[in-house]
Amino acid sequence: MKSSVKDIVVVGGGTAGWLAACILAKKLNNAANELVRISLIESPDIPNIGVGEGTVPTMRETLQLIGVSEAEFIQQCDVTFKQSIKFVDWQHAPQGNKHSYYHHLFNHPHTPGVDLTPYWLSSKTAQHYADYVSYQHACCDAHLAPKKITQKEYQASLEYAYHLDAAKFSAFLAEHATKNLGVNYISATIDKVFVDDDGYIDKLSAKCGKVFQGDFFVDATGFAAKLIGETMKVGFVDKSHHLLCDTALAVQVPYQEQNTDIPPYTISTAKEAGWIWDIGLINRKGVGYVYSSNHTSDDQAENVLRGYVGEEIDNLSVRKIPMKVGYREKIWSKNCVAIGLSAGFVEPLEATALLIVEATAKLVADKLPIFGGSFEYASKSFNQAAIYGWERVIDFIKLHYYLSKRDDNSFWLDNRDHATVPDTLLERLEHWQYNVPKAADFFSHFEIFTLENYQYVLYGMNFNTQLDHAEQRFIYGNNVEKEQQKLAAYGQKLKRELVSHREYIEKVRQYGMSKI
Amino acid sequence: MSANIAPVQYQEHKALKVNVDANYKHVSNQHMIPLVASEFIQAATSFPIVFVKQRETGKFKAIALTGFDESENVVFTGDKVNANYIPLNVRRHPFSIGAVSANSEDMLLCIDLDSATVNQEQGVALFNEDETLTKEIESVGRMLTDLLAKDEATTIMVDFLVEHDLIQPADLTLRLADETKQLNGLYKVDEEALRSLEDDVALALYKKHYFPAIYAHLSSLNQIQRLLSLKAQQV
Repeated sequence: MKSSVKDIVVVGGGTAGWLAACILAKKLNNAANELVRISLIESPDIPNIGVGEGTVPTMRETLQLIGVSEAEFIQQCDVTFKQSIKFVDWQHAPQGNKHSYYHHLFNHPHTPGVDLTPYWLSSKTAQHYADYVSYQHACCDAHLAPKKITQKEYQASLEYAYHLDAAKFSAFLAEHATKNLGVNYISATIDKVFVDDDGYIDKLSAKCGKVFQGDFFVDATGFAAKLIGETMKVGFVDKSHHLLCDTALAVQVPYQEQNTDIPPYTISTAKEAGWIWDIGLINRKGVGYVYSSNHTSDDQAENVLRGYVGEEIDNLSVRKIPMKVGYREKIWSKNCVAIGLSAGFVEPLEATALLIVEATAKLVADKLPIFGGSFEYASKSFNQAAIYGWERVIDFIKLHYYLSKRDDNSFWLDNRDHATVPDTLLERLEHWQYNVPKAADFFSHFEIFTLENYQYVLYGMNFNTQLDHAEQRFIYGNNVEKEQQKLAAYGQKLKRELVSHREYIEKVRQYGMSKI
Repeated sequence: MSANIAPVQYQEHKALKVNVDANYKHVSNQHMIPLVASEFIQAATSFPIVFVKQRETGKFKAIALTGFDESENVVFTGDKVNANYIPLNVRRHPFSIGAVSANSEDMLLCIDLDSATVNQEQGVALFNEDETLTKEIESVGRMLTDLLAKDEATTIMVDFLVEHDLIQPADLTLRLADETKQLNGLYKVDEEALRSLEDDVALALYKKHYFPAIYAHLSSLNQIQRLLSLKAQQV
């Protein structure tokens, strides 16, 4: 059995590989001491998938952690802000020009612990739930930036994540990793993986004949899963019976006009057999249709995407991406951990791909037995947390479908069928029929999506929590009015102070951002 | 504050006179006045000199603090001047200079026609009878050209300080008669960083003559106390 780690080898140089390398390098203090050496081997022959363009607010912490300048990141990766995901037509199929929508905002309640949910429920108001509990709703609808030009890097008035160009982000991270974090870059195509008698990876050999040794290996080889799958033979837990989409058609759509307004959120529009993502970057949109090939044909899917994008799609190249939904039985096996698509995949409905990369890499850094100790214990406790996280992500994605009232296609009827829903989600929903969700319902920080995320989706979809005979739940008395006045006043202040999303991004591109 | 800025032209402005207002009423509702580095030493006798971020660009600029609220000025109150030194950006009123067009380097002398100092009866005439500018106005023009260059030099200095991590937030908690007030968004030179300068940065600061401005700025911070007592007197 191997113990103590000196050489860490990341195989694969997409966003996942480079992000993992940066996080490990920073958390293990790679640049400042000789404790560990981190190398990243990237194949010059294998293209990156490079579609992931959405992030969640943890990316802000991660970029800060690895020490990049937010202004440079915005300037070099065509970044725009994301304050929400706007879900369109998820509740009902559109009727003529009538569309339903709701925001899954990134802002948490203004005053921690003050939950306005019971008041919203009992008011029977037509006001959107998210609008009732947060001023970010109005700021999103007005396409405002989440921060002022006088605020320093990573500081803001409203919570946010980023939209980014995946290929540029990967190059940006590569530059940072090699220049500032001491990551050793190797260009080679790995051809063979050698394991020792105990099944631990010993060394890798490349097509060019070079051999690379290491103590710990990160498999960031994408769907190929060269190490964790091909070599270690770790099985795949298929989850396609819960999440029915298995294919995506992706296209990049340049703006017709230079100064096109950019929404500060991702738009997710439900369609007959899936949904369309719409992400506005600085000079183009990324659009894609995620669908179930069991419920529609590729031709019909192309028609749906064409209907969304318009005729200009005929001049653009559309990529078809097959998706394998599920995750590895073990994300970390012996001295190999899978990060990115090699570990697993769920549809990008809540932009979880990079989120899971970030969370996994941080967890690896914390659990790695650098000074000795066993990989067995480290991997066991890691897998417990990681698998729990994957399962909860699947629950949360499924929630969006299950709460829909759509019946315009067998895709939606199948999604609403109990048989396709994880029991863990059904249990919670049953409880929430009579009780508003509480922080205590989410006991682990490996949940990934917690109270506020659930509240926005549940009540955005008009989930009905019955509050009969529950006066005792209205515990805030007059404070509620005060809270609402506070929200309104702060919302007004933000509307005066914040400029439009595009204007802010253009300013950062022109003037940069202050570090203080 | 009203502003109706026009390039000075003989045909339109031959009858105009400027009556200098000794109280500089036009700044009585501004709590910050832009400064240039070359006047820091004199300005330090009268104002706290601090750095703030410009609302439009987020870039730093140097200012004299003259009040604690958006439209408060306890130094130039409108009927009194509580300062030994009048900043160039106050003195230039009602004149300014502007580029002929966005990409042009040709500068035009401009005047704020809505200024209370502009009239047809009293003060210094803009033009001589032979259509040339009077010598007073010509000297204002020279002062403004000079100010523009000093302003650019100040921007370069401030950028240098920011780039070398020598600026830090100077958030102040003020204890006024009936309240405590948090003053955010002000920045100052980091004295700790100044003490541990790398040799090459120290030499650059010396050669660029930034040290006098830096120490004038640091010593001027004590003027905040004077500003507070001025405020107390006016309540």
